[in-house]
Amino acid sequence: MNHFTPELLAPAGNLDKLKTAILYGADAVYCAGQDYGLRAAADNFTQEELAVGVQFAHERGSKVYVVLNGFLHDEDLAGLPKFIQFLDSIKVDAVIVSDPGVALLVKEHSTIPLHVSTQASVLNLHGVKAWSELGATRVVLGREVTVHDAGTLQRTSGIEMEMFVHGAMCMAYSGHCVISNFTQGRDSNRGGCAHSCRFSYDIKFEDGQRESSFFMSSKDLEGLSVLPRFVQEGIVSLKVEGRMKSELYAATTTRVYRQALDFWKNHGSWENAPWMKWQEEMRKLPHRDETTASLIAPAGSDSIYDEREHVDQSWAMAGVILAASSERGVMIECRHTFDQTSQLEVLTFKGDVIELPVREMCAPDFTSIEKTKPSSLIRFPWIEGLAAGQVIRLKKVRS
Amino acid sequence: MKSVVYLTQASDLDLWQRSGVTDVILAVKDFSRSGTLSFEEAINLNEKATALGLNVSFDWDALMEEPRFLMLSKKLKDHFPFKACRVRDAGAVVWVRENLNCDIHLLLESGHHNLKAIESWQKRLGARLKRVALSPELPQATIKLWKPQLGLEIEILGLGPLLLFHSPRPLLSTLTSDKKEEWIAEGASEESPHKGFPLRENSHGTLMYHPKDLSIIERWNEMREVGIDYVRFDHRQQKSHAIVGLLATFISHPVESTRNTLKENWDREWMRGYWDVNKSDVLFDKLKNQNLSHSSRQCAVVLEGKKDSWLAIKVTGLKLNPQSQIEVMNPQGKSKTIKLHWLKNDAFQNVEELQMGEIGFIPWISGSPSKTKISLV
Repeated sequence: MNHFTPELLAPAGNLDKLKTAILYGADAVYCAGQDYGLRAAADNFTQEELAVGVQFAHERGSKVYVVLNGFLHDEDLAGLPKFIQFLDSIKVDAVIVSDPGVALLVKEHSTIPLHVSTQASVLNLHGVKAWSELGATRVVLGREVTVHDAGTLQRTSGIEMEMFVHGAMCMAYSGHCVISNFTQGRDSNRGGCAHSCRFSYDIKFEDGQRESSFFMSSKDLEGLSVLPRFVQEGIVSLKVEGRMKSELYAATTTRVYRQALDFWKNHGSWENAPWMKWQEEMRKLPHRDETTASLIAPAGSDSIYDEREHVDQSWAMAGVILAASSERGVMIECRHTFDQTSQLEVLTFKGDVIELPVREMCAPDFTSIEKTKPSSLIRFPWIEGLAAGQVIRLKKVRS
Repeated sequence: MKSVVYLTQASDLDLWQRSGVTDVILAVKDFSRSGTLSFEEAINLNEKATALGLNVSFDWDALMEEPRFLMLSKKLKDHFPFKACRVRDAGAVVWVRENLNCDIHLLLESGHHNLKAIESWQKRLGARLKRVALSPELPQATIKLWKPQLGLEIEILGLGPLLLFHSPRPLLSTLTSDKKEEWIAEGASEESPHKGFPLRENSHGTLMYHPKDLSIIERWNEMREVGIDYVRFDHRQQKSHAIVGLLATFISHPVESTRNTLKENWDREWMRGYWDVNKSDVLFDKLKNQNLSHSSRQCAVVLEGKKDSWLAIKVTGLKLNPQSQIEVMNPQGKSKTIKLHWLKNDAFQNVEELQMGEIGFIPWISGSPSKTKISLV
């Protein structure tokens, strides 16, 4: 028996990551074109790539939402109607907006469903109503809303609620931070955030007390342990943050959350759920300290990541399988150096990871090699279970 | 052009009225991020200000999650004697429209940088919408363009603190053992030269302001010319209340001498922000290597190469054949054009065609490292 299961919505910073997320089980992905989003530094998608991505997703039963969530100036809007019509023509499943002007344009120029970005900081029932008046069918709630309150808002309003479940977080109310705008000349609400919140600040209080602190830096959101609450409240969609992150991140987060949601879907209970195993998998990704932030109760001081940014990485991305067949063997695009002493694991799309013994490695022209280089291609002998698109991780050896 | 100030105590009323101030804002602790008044004090001040012929608006600029929203909005429904309500949160706007009879002043200082966004509110609020307080990120040219199209009173911050950051989380109190209602501090970022950020924590969370206050009042005539109807002054973070007198003098006589006196006695330096021009998107092109961005003619990307032998490629667009004429552009932007004379598939076998998504090999081209773009000529 299948039980209600929230949609798993994964980040897609480029076409490769879109494919990774979908192959690992995302019900939907969100991505951006070259303009109008909030990640100007991300690869993002050309129109050709968007068309390919939508087709790839739809062929596998997944959806694609395109973010148009910048706070746009008049001059930014000039090309937007044409882009909206293009998105409509390739049948994207929704656009995500935070600017009421953009919402009006979407409604005027297309029939694409409208989702409201967390950037709009919708926090209450009347906020949901304000956006439903503009035609929104889904609201990505502000990250300050608890799962319990989100469930109430969804039931009361009849509008779908989407919540962030995992990843890096703004400390500020989304859309209410303009530090970059006025200190770096980069509009954070048009994609130029300089992450000033991650720096150390010397704080001097009125009474002369001084402290040095990363007081504006938030721990990362961890919602895996809160999944039973999301399910209980019937939250329609769970969103993973991270369009700027690697394919290893896209693969791992999607894979683990997929396994957890499928466990619920198949059992209708969390009894005997392998939480430890899922948590251990997630720990293999580089991450800041974690918090459930405001998912259960309003985030407090324990949600501050009072440390300099550093990568605590026990595993790294070794590469991605470009082609795999029993006849031609396996071709891997390497992202890291490894050799015959290295410990590699392939993240399968379903089921357990596969240990990948490093032997009989050769270059694309079949000459033997001992050690890989980042950005190189290598060939491996065929192993049952390997497939194109799978991500390989490498256990890092501490020196 | 009229002046709007924050009324924080009854003893200022005469001064404001005599200076020519027409509008006062009452900021109540529960509803306003920098509010200092109780609701009862606000009701009392409203009566007195109204009696003097001043227009009074109630400030609701705080953001509220549903439980707090429900609890506090009930208070306003029971008794709301103010002429107007200043609202920021979209939910608060809709609630005020449905539950109060007052004028609505929209605080559009977060976003709303296009006319269409404001029109979305005009359509829904109709005649109830009297005024919009525009974003300090809008340059004067934009406001001038909008003014005749809006048909609304336009307000801007003329002089006062510029809020950069608002988090609902308690970020200062955690650093000290002091227990109080409000923590005030100053922050210096390790990102030199940014120092002296005013910081506050209260029941609404933590607020950080720009080290310099925004001041457009040196452009008094320009403000008038672009069609500003109301100029807002916010003196509330000034250490000495005596600044009120100097501010009132400037408002009654907005000339260079009174402005200079005000500036000399103002605690913080002034800056004009984006009043002249906003180019906060011009650096975006530098955030990533434009030589790597996809072009419509692009058909493949280089994955790896073996000197004098081959380039491994991934076909990302139009299909390739062994006779294709191609242009390669490396990540440094250097390009060259060549004609292929062979094409191999991922098994290193000669083929007549590679399709989108396939891995293959072409002859070595010097200066073409990983991520080099290949386009059909």
